[in-house]
Amino acid sequence: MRTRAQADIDSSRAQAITDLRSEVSEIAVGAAEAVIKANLDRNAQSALVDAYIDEVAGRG
Amino acid sequence: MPISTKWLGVADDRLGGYAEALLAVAAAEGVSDVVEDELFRFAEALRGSEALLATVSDAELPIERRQAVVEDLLGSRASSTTTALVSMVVGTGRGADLPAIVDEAVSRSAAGRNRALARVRSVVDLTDDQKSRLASAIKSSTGTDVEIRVVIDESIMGGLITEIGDNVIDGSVRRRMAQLRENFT
Repeated sequence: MRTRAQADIDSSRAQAITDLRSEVSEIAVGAAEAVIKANLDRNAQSALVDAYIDEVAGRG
Repeated sequence: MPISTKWLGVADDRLGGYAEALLAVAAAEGVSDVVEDELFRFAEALRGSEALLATVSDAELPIERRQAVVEDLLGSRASSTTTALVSMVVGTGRGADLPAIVDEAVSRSAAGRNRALARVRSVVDLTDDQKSRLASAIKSSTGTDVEIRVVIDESIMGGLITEIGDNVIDGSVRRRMAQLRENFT
């Protein structure tokens, strides 16, 4: 019975860690997206386009 | 940047017939460039609006009503030839196929000039210089001569996504965010 109880605890702990990791990930990526959206003005967008073109050209 | 492949299927002969008809009328009127550009933009607008696509495809709605919707929408924004062609397609009950028909028309037109259609998604419009450099970069990378058509798509957040036939070159900020999310989990 003790073994089963320990297994339940371990399982719950693993699930809690997974949930927490997922939540932290969403918060972090959401924050990153917000920062990027706020900082990508027209010049920055144009620079990203140029970087893309250079990268495609570099494949040749 | 990854290059992914998607299956588009073989172009339907009927769609090809409509596509050829659009091109023939535009050429006969001497407005091929303008009409192709306007048709492409309208087809993208249809793709971006489920409500609009549903309206022009709605079999419950009288055809005259569907045609009136597109004529109202395009009337002040497009040439009379483009408006008439879109109205004709909708009038034959092919409104739902309009994006595919236009894709086929624009692709055939480009193929007639020995080029492939490159649909480029971007948050901002590209300058003529950027379009020219991108076409050269694609040529040196894939060996294919392309015609660039830009689709404004804010959902990609930044960077570009280029679609040439079945090939997709995704250099968007949205993809990088998705990678970041994957790396966290």
